[in-house]
Amino acid sequence: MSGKTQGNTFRLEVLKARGNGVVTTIENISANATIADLKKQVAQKKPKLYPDRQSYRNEPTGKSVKDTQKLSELNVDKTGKIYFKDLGPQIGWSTVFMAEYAGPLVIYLLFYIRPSIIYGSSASSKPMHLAAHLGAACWTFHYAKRILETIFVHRFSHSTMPIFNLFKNCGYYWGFTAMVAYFVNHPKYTPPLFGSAQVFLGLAIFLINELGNLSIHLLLRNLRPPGTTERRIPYPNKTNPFTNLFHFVSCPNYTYEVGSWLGFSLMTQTLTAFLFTIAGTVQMTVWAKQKHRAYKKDFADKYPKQRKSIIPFII
Amino acid sequence: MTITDNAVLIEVLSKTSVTINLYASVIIFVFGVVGNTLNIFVLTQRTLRSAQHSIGILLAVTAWSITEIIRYGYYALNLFQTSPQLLTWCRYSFFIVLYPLGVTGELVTIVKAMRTIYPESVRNRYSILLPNKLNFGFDYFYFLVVVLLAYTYFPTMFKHMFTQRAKTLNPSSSSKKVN
Repeated sequence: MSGKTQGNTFRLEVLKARGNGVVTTIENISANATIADLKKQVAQKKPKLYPDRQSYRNEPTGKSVKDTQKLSELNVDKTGKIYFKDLGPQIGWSTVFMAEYAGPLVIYLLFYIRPSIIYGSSASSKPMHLAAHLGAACWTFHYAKRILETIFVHRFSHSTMPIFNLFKNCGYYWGFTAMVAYFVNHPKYTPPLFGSAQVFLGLAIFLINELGNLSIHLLLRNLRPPGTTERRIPYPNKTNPFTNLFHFVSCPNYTYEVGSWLGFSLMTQTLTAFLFTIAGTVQMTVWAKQKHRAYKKDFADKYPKQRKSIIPFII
Repeated sequence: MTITDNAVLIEVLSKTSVTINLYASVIIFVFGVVGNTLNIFVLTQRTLRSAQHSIGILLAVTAWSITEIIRYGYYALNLFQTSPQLLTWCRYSFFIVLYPLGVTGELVTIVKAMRTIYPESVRNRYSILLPNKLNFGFDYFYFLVVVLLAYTYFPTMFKHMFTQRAKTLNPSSSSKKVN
């Protein structure tokens, strides 16, 4: 139980941002209370609305306010009103990542063993080209790396996301995995046009870009002090040459990811792998542009001007 | 046919810029467009003559033609700032009968087309076969299986239209008051 406040308590009406209606009324809340405190109190009165589902704003249509803001800073103690948005059922950010990455691991390997249900009864005894073996190895490596990074490397800004995203993201990753794995592991797979040279070139490109991607993730982790959501401008460091890509782009981790998948597509010469590369590139370009805009807005003149968002000199 | 296709495309584009807010709207919208467009390809194949002579085509084309006449009439008049009560009522009520009829017509046609293309000799004309340099295959029969599965979204879409009907025809009763 919190101790008695200094006497600057007030009555707060929590109103729906959309439509009319009162969510609840808090009789005595301190002007010094933060949004995080408000969320806890509302959750006590309305157990279905756990804090991660709650989002507040000063006006019915406006930007959401941060958890750390005090009610007095937002002038809510003067108006006695605040507007609430229900973000819907939430699920842990890490949970979603694990589910969406575990699928590709399992599904690709299921196709790799050439089950008779998919390829017919004699398929598993037919010879498999080196490119298909390497494809399975690279795919597995990529998603195992992602899972390990989710557990040990990444520091997330948000703790939850809407549960709908789970189905959307899993549909995307699992669906594309099936589409790529089906053709690379097919008994009628055609090896690349330029043979071993193409296979090993693709493999090298893949591995180099995976290393680059990991380097950026490690740099970004070390940039952010543990337990905070503080943002700083990332710069190349002296120890890892892969980080030099920061001279040219805001999101080199995405750049390297695009490179990895281009390498994979070259190595396997499979159209669906290339389509997957395109889809990922489009999505990552959208994210990179958002992040780039956020950086420029947060850091203004201090932010390096020659940087693009994802592809050096281009976009 | 092409003028209608262009009008559909323009309408699709303008609808996109206005209504994409919630993910649910996007999915409903995409399914509606994809469903109708794909049917144009299925329904007009000359080799699927037996399917074209089925009742499915008659049902689908009749239902959708009436729907489109009302809908585009409504949009056209909207451009002139008028929205006659009767036409609005028709637009938001006729669908109750026309949509199930139209969807049934489409399903009947697709199933008949699937039965026609099932044998290898016909199917291979509409498919991309392995092996090939790009390691890409496309089996039209299984593609139609997926299209059929997409129709499982129809009940949700249909319910959504009833909500829109309530909002448009009874605007006063749809605002929520919570105590």
